[in-house]
Amino acid sequence: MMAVVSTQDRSLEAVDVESLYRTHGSELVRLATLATGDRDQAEEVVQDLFARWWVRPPTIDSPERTAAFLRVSVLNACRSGFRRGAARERAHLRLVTSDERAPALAAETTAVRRESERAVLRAVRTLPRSQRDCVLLRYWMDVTEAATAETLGISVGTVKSNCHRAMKRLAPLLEGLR
Amino acid sequence: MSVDEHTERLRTVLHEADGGPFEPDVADVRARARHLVELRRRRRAGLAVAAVAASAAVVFGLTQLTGDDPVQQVVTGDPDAAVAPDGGEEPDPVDEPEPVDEPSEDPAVPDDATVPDPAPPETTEDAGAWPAGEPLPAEQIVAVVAEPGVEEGLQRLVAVDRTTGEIVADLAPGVGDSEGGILDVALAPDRRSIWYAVSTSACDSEVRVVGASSPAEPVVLGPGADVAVSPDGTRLAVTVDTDCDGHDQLRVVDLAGSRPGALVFDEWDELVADGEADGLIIWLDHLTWVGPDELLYQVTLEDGVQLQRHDLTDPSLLTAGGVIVVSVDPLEHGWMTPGGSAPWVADQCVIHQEGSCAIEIVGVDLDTGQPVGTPIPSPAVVTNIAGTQPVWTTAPGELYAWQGSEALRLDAPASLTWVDVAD
Repeated sequence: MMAVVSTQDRSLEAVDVESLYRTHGSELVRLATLATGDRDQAEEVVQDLFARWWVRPPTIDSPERTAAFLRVSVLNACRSGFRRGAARERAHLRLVTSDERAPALAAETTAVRRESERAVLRAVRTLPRSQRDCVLLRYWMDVTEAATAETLGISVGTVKSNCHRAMKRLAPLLEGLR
Repeated sequence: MSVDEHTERLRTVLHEADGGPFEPDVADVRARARHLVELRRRRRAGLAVAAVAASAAVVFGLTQLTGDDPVQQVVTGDPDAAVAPDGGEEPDPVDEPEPVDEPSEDPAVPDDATVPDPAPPETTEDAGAWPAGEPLPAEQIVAVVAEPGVEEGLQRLVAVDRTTGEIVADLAPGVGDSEGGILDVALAPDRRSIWYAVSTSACDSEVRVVGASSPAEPVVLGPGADVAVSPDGTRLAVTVDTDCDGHDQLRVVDLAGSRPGALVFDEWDELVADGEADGLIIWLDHLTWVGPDELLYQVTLEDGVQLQRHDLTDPSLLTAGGVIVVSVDPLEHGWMTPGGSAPWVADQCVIHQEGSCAIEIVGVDLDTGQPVGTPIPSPAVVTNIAGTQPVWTTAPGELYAWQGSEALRLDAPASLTWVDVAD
């Protein structure tokens, strides 16, 4: 599907949403999974995002920015979804005790089995958003500091400080990993 | 252990937990796209309200509650049926495999993302005739409680006697929480109407309104995730993320000039054209509209917390200016007292322990954004802050946050007291 971006800015590129989806969909779902901690929610976020772009293609100022655009859009959408997820989680937590939660959560995901790893992942997800995004881009996607900065619209120095602060928070948990 | 070793361990954990490859499902995306188009068509046709009314009639069975433990209340409707119709979502469109090849040319989809306006439906109601009931008594607060028994449960908007903790009235039909449930609640200043935002999907949410005195079917205003009513009750501020791209917009609607079911964005003043400032996306996480100076506060999250203040008497200030930064970190949510005065309450989770959250009160100087005094912690680490939105009473400094059958009452800023909501 090729759709020309409807915009007043003639310099913007046409966007092939289906191609973007086929190329980046899997990576974005995995990114969203880490951001939300919930694979189902991650798939929902990405599918909904691309559905909206299908209806109204996004504006991307240059092909080189495409990957960055997609990543930050998913992280943003996860933030939105996280709000809803948090509300849902709260509602759910009203219904069960902490003892009851463990097996339920274990059943929800097969990727996060070990408690120590789960603690790390929880900690990543509850980092301040800017730190979390930096961690995911830098350490999961292996994006360079410069590219991370460009993606998130922040300086390289902020990327460094965010990662530093994040790692400082995570260090006690990482020490506990076997 | 070195930093490099920490980093390597983190990389390993992340790669093992990303859920693995995902097979792109183009058909599903197309179906969702068709659904969006259909949804907008229906909204244009003014059918959204009717759809909500119909679905609400199915799920809503409560008429009167007793003073029992609120988490032990039983919904007399079909809880499974409550999930799908939540939020007025229409059924999926027909699943013919026709692709949406040139969606931008679909006449049902406006080119301007900020104008998904429905045409005003035929209605005999006068403009500004929003649902309104008898004023909610002063001793009652509005709260959101969850229903037990189903994984994807129901939430209810209820009136609670704040002196006894007893639920005294059901105010709105059950709302499924499978998509996140109720996101925000605002009681009109005259206490006759309750505005609330309900999440309807991972990307969508809508603002509804009901009268304050008895259970009723809600009227849907339109999309929105946070709500705040102006001090004089004539305007409503909402945040809208139209394209699910994380760019929240702040909009204000003149309630007197609008009609139920006729959300016309053209009538909305777009105070902030885009949620961006200096390249950073600003998240609007809560709105508080205070008087008499017509100040609209946004609590946002980005690099900690920002408190953004809009002076509605001076439109020139409705831009990136006026942002004051309050660092309370890590922080998930923030609220302000109805009067707009400090203290400001932070819902703070301890990141290293599952479900370990605390509430703390942070005093904030609204002129400078600087914290005032020492944060007051909650009396104990709680398993989580249950329920949904904490609710301020009309008396500044008194907040109720739900946890099971208990509510955490924050008598700010002097003390924190646990009270039993039920017997």
